[in-house]
Amino acid sequence: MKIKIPKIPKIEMFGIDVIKNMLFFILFIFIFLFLLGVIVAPSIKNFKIIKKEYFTTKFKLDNSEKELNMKTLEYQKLFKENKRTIFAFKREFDKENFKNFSSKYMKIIDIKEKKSEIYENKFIKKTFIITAILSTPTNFYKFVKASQNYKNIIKIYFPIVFKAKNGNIKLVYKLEHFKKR
Amino acid sequence: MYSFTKANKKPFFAEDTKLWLIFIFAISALMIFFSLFLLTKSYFYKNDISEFKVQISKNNKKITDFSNKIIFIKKEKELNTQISVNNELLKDGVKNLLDLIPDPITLTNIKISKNSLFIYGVTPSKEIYNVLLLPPLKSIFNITITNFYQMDNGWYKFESINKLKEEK
Repeated sequence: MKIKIPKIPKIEMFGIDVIKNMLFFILFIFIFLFLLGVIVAPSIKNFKIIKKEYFTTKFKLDNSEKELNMKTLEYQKLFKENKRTIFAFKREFDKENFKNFSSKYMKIIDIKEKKSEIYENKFIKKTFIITAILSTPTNFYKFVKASQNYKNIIKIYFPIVFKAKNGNIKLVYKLEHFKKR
Repeated sequence: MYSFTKANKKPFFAEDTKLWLIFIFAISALMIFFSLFLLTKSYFYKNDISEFKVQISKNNKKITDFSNKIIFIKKEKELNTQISVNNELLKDGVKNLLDLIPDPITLTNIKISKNSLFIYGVTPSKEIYNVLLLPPLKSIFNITITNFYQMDNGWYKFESINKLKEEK
């Protein structure tokens, strides 16, 4: 059976086919809306999300760089101020050097290492028993004072024994050396 | 029939149809081009975001490293100060103790511990010891015990044991 499609009547105005142009106009609007909804709108939405993420991430990056700069400056300042202490904590205890350092105040006879232990998880504490001969206790005070500027971090501690010996004083004391672990 | 004019070739599309088609094609191309432009821009943004994230992660790691170093330097500084103060206090403590010994009394041995002091020496008489040395020792220590041993020349050897009570 043959279907008969009704022929669209041709309406012309100033020689322009009104129906055809109307259909093209509808087609144009349809294609325009279709492309807008299917391609352009999702692209804009996606672009907006990515752009927002871009600026958020950039803001975070700027902040982290600022913080890093601040930390670097703080570290450099602290390092500069405490250079002597930092290097002192890196050095091993050198018996000969210590003898030389002490020679101005007393004569070191013996340095005995007693024990080595971890101190506060970050340091190694070595304990030595020092035996020395000195002429007067004043030298001991001077030595303790000078030890603040020694190249190692040393703590003079109890027990301290002074014993008269042939006109001099035999001194025995505990010395603790601290080093970075 | 015969015509004096030549037959014109009939165009495939009418003029207005062509115009509409061009118009539709142009707007479609424009929209597709715009979308492609946005996609390209998004692609570059995404690349930048990935780079930023890597950089942020590196920065955070460096910040943590610096923070740890700063904490450690502060700890070193604190320990050094504490040791310096301890040494200074020890020096003053020993000096003050030795300054307590009056001239007539001679020491032969002195052992200073954290909570105790042992003094061995020679005194011309018990009275001199009891008047000049005992009171300051008693004022410092909780327990003070002294033993005297007379020598051939009449002087006394003494041993003084002084202790601080441990705080509970």
